[in-house]
Amino acid sequence: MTMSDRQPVLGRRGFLQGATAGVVGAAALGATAADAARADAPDAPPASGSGRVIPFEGPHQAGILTPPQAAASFVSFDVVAPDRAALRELFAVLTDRVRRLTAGGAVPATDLASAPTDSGTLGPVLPADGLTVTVGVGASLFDDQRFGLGARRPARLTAMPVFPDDDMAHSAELHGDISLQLCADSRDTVTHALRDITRHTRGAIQARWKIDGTHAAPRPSGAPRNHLGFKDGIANPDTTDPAVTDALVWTHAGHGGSGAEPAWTEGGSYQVIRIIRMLVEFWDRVSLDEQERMIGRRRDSGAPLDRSAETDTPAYAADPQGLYVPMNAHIRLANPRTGATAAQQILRRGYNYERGLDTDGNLDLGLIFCCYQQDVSRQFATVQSRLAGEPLVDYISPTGGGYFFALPGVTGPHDTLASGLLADF
Amino acid sequence: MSARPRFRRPLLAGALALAVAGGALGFAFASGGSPAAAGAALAVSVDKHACGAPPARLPAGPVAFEVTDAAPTFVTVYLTDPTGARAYAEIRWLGPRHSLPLTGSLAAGRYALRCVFSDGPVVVSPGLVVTGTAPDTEPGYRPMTSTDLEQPVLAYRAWVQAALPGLQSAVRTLDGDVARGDLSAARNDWLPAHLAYERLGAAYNSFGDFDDAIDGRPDGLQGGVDDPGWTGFLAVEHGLWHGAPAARLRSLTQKLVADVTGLIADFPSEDTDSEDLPLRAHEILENGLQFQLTGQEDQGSGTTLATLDANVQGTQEVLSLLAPLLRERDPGLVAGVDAGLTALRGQLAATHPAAGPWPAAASLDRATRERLDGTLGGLLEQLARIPNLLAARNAA
Repeated sequence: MTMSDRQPVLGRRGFLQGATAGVVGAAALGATAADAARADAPDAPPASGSGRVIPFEGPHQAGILTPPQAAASFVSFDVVAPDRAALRELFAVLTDRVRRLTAGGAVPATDLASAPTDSGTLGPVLPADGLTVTVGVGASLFDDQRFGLGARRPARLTAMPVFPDDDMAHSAELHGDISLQLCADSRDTVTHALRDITRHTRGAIQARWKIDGTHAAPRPSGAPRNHLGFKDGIANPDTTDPAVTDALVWTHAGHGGSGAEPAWTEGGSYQVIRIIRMLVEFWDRVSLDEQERMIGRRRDSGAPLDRSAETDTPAYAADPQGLYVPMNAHIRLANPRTGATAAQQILRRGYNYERGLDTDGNLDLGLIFCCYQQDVSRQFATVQSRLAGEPLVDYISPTGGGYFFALPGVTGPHDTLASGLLADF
Repeated sequence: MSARPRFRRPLLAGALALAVAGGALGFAFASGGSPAAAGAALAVSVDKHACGAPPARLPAGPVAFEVTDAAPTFVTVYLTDPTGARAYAEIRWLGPRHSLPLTGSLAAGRYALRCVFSDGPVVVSPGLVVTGTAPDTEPGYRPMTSTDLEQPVLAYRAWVQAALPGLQSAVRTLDGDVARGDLSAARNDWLPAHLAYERLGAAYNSFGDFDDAIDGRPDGLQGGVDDPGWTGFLAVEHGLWHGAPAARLRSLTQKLVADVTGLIADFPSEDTDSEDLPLRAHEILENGLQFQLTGQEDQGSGTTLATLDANVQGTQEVLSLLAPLLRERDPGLVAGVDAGLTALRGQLAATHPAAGPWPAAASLDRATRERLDGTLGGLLEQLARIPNLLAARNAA
């Protein structure tokens, strides 16, 4: 691995060290002579990891259309910074950290009077390793008395409501002012990034809840399987077609008639996170036929029950009584494939989770359901309402999550996350 | 509060001993100028006659030397300005015939390498001129010598000395309550006594074994809270809030009075390591986060937030003594830390009515806990600079 001159050196800008915007571009050019020289040395430390660099800048944040990487953490934070100036500073630091972490590069020398600038868990040269960090904001950030942002709340952003089949009454994993979705090609890269970000933002945001996920490998091909043994995420919108993502994923300024989206939301996306436990011991005691009728697909192939291949489109019009795919099968309720429901499709980006045991000694396994959409009310909430009472609800238990609005992208070296949200005060 | 043993390399005494041993074993005098191992890093070999021969000119920005000790003794190597008034980078401890990197990021200016050999000699390299500009260069710090901390340590010891009689009087009151069988009064008098001790927070290493006897936690004891060897404030607390009989408590409070009295007799002859003071300025509140804000140290009274407040006061005292040394080296640090400490005390005070009881840490609502965690966490990130900033860099 040869390091490029342009690889940035991770800086030591932190929330409490008087960080200022604008040094980022300069810092990115800072790793010149010594690092270039080092790269030529036979024993120069190589960066590890996949070598994938997913660009940080763009009209939209990375990590939304990006095909799911192998490892993820979803972390919700509350802002404890006292005022809007500190909030602005927070987003500047967050932008700087994400920019540097996703680019990778040599860890800078440690200042004589400081603890090491980096945790060292990825070695002396940080791999980009397909890292994306996607930042969202929750409805509580817009509470009027806090930062005066009430008038700028995305038009459809509310706290996540309780749906009829939820088990959230005692949940400690709900809502939050800010969400981070961290994804990378390996677990330790995700953990390193989170540790770096929390260190640099200490005193400004405080973690509220966190859940870690894994993107399963195809078994044997196609969409990955969830803990129920079924392929999940088969029928996602085509993310390579800008017309599709424009209509389904990206929020547009001024859309929505009377409740129009504020200008700054252009290019953002509503993010829904749901921690859905799967009661796998119970599920494993259910016949395959019943399992398949609840889902609406064959377990082995992933094919809809009326077809033969995973990618086949079910023909509900030809099966009006649900003789092949029951009317209350999960896939049929979720996406009826009618003209009227086409605009309700969501972009799913879920991860399997696994964490310990419950009090009965049963495995705590499940799905971190994550989806993105242009309008959470028109899309996720509508679909979720249609799923109310589906047979599958006996085998799953939604225990946490939240609604967030994934910010528009960072468009250049001097732009920051939330720059539109915080502009012109 | 219990001491967290922590390895920090002894700076002078131990170093000399090691160096002498090395010489006695006949380490060969390495021939100078052997190429450094790290390829393009600038190879520098140092001995008693020359602290290397760095290039005369370098561009601003990151610099990496690979320094080899060609002398038969250990050496500390600094990158300083030519007079040694500011240090920018260092190798704390380099052994004969060993090599280590010396890295930094330099702004335009004049620099030199400075070798401080463990057996005494100090050698300075020819000057090194850095030109141009670069981002993220290091400002350098005024190096400190061990003697700079003597005055703060004396002042600190005087402060502890002055506070100890109040502690003694408070534990006697507690013991008197228990002697009368008035456990209700004892529960009221336990907290002021405990806080009188916790306010000294910085002292725990200075108090040696007395700290375990006076304020030890049960966690490391074989029998946990039932361990017969568990004594001190927390053992008394556990008994007072778990229905222990007065007779059992009396043996604990008598022992507590005896240990505090022993401490007072012993303190004048106990050494206070000067390195300890800057370390405590940071670590009192690391322990505060770990044991008090979490409520982990609560033995029933639900007063760990009061303990945390006392720890903040102890930190404020240590910081006030170190402030002149810190201001010379990092002018913004003291103001930032002061503001954080004040904010934390304010937030702690707001958790309960002025004359009312403290809430148990476990009962804090989420928003209050998050604010306290955020304030204390942000404070710790700043306090973490103090030990390194005030590390002795003799002859740098």
